[in-house]
Amino acid sequence: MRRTGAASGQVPRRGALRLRRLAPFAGIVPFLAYLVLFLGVPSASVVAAAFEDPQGRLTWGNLHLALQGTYLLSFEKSLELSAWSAGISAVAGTILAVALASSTSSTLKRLATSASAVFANTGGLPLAFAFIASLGNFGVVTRVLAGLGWNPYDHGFDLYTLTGLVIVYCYFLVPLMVLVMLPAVESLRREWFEAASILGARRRDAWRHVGVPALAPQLLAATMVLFVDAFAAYATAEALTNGAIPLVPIQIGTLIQGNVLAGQQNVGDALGLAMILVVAASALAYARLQRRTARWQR
Amino acid sequence: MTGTIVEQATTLFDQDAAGARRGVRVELVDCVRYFGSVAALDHLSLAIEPGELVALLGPSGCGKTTALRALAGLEQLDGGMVRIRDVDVTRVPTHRRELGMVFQAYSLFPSMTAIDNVGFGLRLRKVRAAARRRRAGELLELVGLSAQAGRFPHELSGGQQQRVALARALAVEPRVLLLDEPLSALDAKVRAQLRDEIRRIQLEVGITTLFVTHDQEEALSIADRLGVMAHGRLEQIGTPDEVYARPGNAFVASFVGSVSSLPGTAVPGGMVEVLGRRIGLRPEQDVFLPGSAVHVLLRPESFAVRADPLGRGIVLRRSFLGPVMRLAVALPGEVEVEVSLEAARAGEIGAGSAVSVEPLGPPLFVTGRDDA
Amino acid sequence: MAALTIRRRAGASGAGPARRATAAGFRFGLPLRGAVLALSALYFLVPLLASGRFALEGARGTWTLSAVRALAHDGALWSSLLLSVEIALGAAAITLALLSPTSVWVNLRLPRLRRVLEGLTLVPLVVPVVVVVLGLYGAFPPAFVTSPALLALEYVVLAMPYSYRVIDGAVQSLDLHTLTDAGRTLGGGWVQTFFRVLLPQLRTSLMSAAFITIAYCLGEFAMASLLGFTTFPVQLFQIGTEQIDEATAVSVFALLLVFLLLATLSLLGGKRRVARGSIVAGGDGTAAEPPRPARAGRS
Ligand SMILES: Nc1ncnc2c1ncn2[C@@H]1O[C@H](COP(=O)(O)OP(=O)(O)O)[C@@H](O)[C@H]1O
Ligand SMILES: [Mg+2]
Repeated sequence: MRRTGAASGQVPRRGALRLRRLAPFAGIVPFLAYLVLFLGVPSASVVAAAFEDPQGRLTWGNLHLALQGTYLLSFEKSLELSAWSAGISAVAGTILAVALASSTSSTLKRLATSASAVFANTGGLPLAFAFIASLGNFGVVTRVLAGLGWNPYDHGFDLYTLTGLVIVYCYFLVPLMVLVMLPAVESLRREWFEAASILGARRRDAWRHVGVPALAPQLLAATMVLFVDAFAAYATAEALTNGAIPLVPIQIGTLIQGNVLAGQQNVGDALGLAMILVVAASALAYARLQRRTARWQR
Repeated sequence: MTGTIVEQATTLFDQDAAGARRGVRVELVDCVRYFGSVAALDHLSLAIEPGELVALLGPSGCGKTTALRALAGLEQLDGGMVRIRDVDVTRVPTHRRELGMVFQAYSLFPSMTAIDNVGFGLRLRKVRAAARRRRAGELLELVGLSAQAGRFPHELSGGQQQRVALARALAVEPRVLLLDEPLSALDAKVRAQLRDEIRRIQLEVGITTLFVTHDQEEALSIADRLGVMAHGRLEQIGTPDEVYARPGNAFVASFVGSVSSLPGTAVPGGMVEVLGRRIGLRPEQDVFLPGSAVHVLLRPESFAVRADPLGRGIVLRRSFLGPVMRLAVALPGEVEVEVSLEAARAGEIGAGSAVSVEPLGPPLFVTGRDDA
Repeated sequence: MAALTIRRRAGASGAGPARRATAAGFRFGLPLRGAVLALSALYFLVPLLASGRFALEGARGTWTLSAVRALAHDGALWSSLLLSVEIALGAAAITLALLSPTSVWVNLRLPRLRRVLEGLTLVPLVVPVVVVVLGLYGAFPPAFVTSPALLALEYVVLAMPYSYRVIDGAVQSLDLHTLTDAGRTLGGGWVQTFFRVLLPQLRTSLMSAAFITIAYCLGEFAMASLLGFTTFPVQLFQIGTEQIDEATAVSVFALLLVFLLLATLSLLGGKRRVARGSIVAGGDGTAAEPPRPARAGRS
């Protein structure tokens, strides 16, 4: 494919040669430039600001502050929230994907896929409102249950807590999981299952030794995405709890909206940097696991 | 080379002190299976003797796969019974039937290496890792893939994958080996080679085997006995030469091997007249009243063919099959026959040549004809 | 799959009651499948239905349209919607202009970088939106940060993981080399070939990509709110703090609308795929298998 040398057969000068080689890259420069400008530059600016005090001098102070008190607590809460939401959604989403794959109706499958696409992407506010409307103190479901003599709020349930948030987050994370896992589940071949049973595998053996390992790469990848998604989510938590639960994105949001103590202007950037680090760490963990589970793939 | 493999095989698979085959008897008894209104199995009965390789042959959709899957317990029966070693296993689930099976393709577990695939059945049987690896290694050697033990399925060719599948099926010392068109996804050369190898290994191991195929050459060359199926029924079962030479009915006659069907008339003395000549019938074929119209089925080799400027046949096509030349010849009355002759004698005969064609008896099969 | 779906037992003639079909591979049997689907339907539908009820609820459990009526006359809501639509259309336009030539170019001239590029488009998934907003304040002059144009430009990035996949998938399924060669033998240059030959082939996918981007923009709350723009979701949030039933009403309608549109799109897309014969399975289900197990998206 590489075309070198001019049509005349002369050996081109080295400069010209290099230019030829590089020419194809010109086509993606606009894209790269766009990404750098609108994603790279802001991210880099956060990282840089995290190490600066308001006067622009280098300091560890911001990071130091970011890892204390409420900020530290918000990291704990955020991690707890995303781990639970991602874990539960990964399991539930995979089970749902298998159930959908088992269904004989292709219309159901297509509808479910479309619905998943919507629910996974338009979480945000409508979601918070929908749950307030159903499971809030005066929600429809709450009232129905109360009418039946079992008011969940009298039994320790509260929508505006971490548990509530997990329930709500699953609403958009499970569909995301379904979107990723449905094709993976459908690519599990019947022959694998049958070959396993003939070799003596019970249903659960076949799942454990053949099905789950075959799904593992997608399962891991998707779980990581879920975790990051939950970790970074802002809208739902903000609308649902009005900042009552300290979560990192909410903290940063509060700081952005100007509720800053003097001398702590850049603590938000430090929190942002810490978020990036958490995401990077989970990506790294994912990459290591992936090397083990996806060894067999091309 | 062969010697070492036989040695391996004898140690790989325990046999009786007497050296008797360890295969068991397998039976499908009056099996019925419907898909909607289609009878995939229509009162099918089939018995496979210990150590025997039975090939099931039939057109696509005739129920071969269903029969094999019923034996494996992968397909439930609407009626009938499956017996292994004289025990009714109809209600025994697949994973407890102790069988081995090779599918058409893509059955290797993608997340396991070749050797782990082969060792899978042993792992389920709680064989310790070291022993498992040893035995799986031996089986890979048996199928000639020791060097590929650490490869994942997608790193193996189609033929190699099928070898691994065979090794995996044999590793657990199954009572019966089931093969469902194991070669049809492979290209011709690999197919012939692997076919012979399957047969070699089957003989060495002495395992009762059901081999399903739609390829008659494959079936004829590999089988101890050949069962021909159509519409969920077994039309005939017998040794390959029996089925080839003495088909039990017109379907079998025309499905196995090439035949030409010619109009003829029964004449007295146990003969039929066809192409103006009389040929003798075998006693069991002599069931037609003299004068009745019949179809006479003849193999290509049952014709004498000569180049003959005055002959009434015109050669339409010729195809070279190594030692013999196959000719398609048009005869008067819109009859087309396939004949063969020694390639050496076919020299000047080509498309368009005039030839004379004479039938040589006895015919392969004779059926009544109502249209005359 | 298709073969499995039509597996049905005929009234077993004299063979006693039909026995349970052998479970087919890595699938759930009817009871488990039914239970899982029913539970999921409950979890996903109840909040929607509850929102609907909530939005239309009057005093003491009556039904009323007052919340909806109040909204119809809410000028602020309408103007926020207008702003959102403007931003969404802008983002969709930029998305198409930026991503479709990039995808074509990469597939044609730099196929080895395809995976790298795909990976790059996924990066926005892992950078939290709040962090991006922080960075925007830090990196850009205030005049720029307060312009709605910035929001449109950023939404292109945020929706890219979804929009690029759609476009790139379609571009990959084209026989690019043949098409471009054809285009250029007909005398067109690069640009002409792109517009005259390739774009028409990509029309449906570009529309889906645009639609996905628009849907994203109409629903995005975090960035808009933190940058101080009163877009539709932000206005909704404001209403929600005072009149939760009104907010719920709007959000239900918004969600339903998006759902209907997406469902239509995917049903249309799905039909076409079926027509091309992806469900041709032989009796034993092995006849028309793809050569390799399909791999799920690596999002
Ligand atoms: N799962 C199934 N669903 C519906 N019909 C089936 C199924 N499996 C097989 N059949 C039908 O049963 C008949 C026999 O099929 P099969 O045993 O696969 O044939 P063969 O292997 O000889 O080609 C065919 O008519 C086929 O269409
Ligand atoms: Mg078959």
